[in-house]
Amino acid sequence: MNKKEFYRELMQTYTVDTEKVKCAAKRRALKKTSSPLKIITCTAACTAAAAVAVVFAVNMLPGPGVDIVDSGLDSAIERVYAAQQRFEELSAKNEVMDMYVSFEKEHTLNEILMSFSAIDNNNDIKLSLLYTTDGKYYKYSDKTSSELKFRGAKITAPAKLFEELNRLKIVSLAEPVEGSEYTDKSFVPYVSKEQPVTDITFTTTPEGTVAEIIITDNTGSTSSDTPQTSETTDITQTETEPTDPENPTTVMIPVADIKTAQFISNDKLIVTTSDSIRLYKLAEGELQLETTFYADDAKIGCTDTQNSLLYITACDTKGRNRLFCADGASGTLTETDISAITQGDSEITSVMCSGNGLIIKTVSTEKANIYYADRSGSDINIALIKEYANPVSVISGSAGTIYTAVIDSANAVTKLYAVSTADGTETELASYPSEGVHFIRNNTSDTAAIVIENEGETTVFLLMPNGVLTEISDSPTFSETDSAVFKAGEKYYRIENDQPVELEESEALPYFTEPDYPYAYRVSIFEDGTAEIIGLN
Amino acid sequence: MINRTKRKEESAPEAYFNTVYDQTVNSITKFVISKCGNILDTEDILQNIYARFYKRILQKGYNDIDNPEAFLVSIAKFEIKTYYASKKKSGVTESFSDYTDEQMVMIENEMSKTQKNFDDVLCNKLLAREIFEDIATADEVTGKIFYLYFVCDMKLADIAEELNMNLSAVKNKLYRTIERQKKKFRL
Repeated sequence: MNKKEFYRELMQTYTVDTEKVKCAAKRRALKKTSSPLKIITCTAACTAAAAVAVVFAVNMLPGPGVDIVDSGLDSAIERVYAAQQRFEELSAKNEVMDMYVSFEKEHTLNEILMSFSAIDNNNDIKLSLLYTTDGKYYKYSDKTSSELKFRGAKITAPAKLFEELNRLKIVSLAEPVEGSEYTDKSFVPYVSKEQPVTDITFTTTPEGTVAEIIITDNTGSTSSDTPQTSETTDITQTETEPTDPENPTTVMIPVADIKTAQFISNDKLIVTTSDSIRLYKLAEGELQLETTFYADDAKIGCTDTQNSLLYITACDTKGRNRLFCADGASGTLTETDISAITQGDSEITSVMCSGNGLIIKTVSTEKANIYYADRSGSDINIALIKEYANPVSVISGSAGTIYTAVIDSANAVTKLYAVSTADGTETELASYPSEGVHFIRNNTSDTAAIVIENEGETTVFLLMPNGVLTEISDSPTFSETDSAVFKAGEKYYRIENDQPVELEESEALPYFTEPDYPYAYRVSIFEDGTAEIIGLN
Repeated sequence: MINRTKRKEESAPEAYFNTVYDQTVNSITKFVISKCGNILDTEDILQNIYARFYKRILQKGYNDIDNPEAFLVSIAKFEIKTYYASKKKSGVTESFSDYTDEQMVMIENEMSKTQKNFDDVLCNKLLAREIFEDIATADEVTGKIFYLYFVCDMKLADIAEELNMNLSAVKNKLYRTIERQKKKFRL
């Protein structure tokens, strides 16, 4: 026996006596008396089922008071787990879902809207009810008093935003309404962000999706489905046996709980798991781990395909954001210091490659900040461009200008602005009614469509790189291979000199065929979180 | 003759609990050790986790639990937070390693050499327990480092990331303890 074996056996034997734990656990479970620890726990984190007074914004109706019944930690765990299970069942059949959202503490309506603005396409989130701590609830209105503070809300939102909502710092739990034990009248917000409900790992991910911050790129192909970028994920199962040991056709990725995996060069693979970001090198038929960063909630922020750069955001154990750069040219994975912009409760909500720069948006309960960062390889120099007291979205950016959409909830309008990265000066471009506005970008994020749905009618404007707004007939689908080409309705266009110029279908169709996959191996991720790379002949 | 795998008079919840326990105890132990304040708290926390799980399946069944390990991790997170809610966590002091790379390589090489007295030490329960407690009570993280390194086979860099520590500090704690125990217990 050597020293390693000695310490292994020593630590295994004396750290945990598994049989003793099993028997003691059963005895503890069958004890009838409550322990003082449990009472303390119940006070700190309680859920309740109680009658709730219904209060309308205009007509205040009297109602019964709230009985907060302390159900304890058991109920808290059950509620979180049940929410996860219900979501997994419902998300397969529902694109849009009613949800109860609980906040970790009381927030004003503006703070809630500001935090929701951290989610792209947050205009798709419709508030219907707002709940106070003392059990009253209000119908949502733009005229809701700014003095009121709320502990929960009922919303309608796309099911795909469920995980994003649960990741927000102010949200302690977002749970589907369908199947819930609560009704609108009986709902009581789930308390305590300290129990890390947002850390719950969902064991499956929706098919064909990759966790991305960027709003719909809406790239397309001529097939009836709209495939994701082919070098990212495929949730399919293959049973290919390797025939050539030196160049095997399949190689397992040697890590579990994989969320995304993509090649950044022919021999470098970036993998994100539930708690890490990893760089592997493919050499002699094996994947060798080169770099590991341990971080939670890793998400692909943006891709600069021209320079083979991939930006990934993630969080440390304290929830503070981190930014990583995977460089295909140099084959490296490095971390960029962004501590200057993630002070307090600010969190990064979007990262966008724009020319030679990065546009980064951070959101806290009080404000949203937009930063511009000059890039030099994996290094960046960050400067604050603009601070906002209202929810803001970054639409696109080009040649020293960032285009933003600011929600003015008091007047129920969304205003478009052009903001200079040189000095932060802001020019208003247009104003639209807030309801039903959303944005679609091309894959270089220098052009975007503003889609406005108002009283059953849809109007679409194309925001050109130079800031000109041009009305087009339909929501565009941008080409994946040429960001200046798009399809609107049955027609095809190329943007030339900041104007859409119509193309013949025969000329345009090649831009909408699936691009050639550039690498020798394709990634396949299985439902159980394992993955393999498959050699392409 | 059919060999029954279920013990006589063992109820369905009990059988389910035993099966899930055997399948998950190692992974849940690793989770608890990486998150707990002190390795000596591990058994107590594990008992709380599985007690809560056992009580749940007795009262409400288990047909709705699709993923018992995920359910147990949910419980574990709550239990760890609750367990340490009233305890003040002391900060982990980071330091640079006392050892050069060459010295660390020498220590690593020595750990791979067979020594006859290790079996005897393990057979001496009192001595083995004393050696374990010397590790576990050194500070809040040494025991965790030892468990994750020797039992879970994690790399030191991975342990440093998991425990949110400087790699040098992890190496320091590991190698200093090994060298100190070498002298103290003649290992």
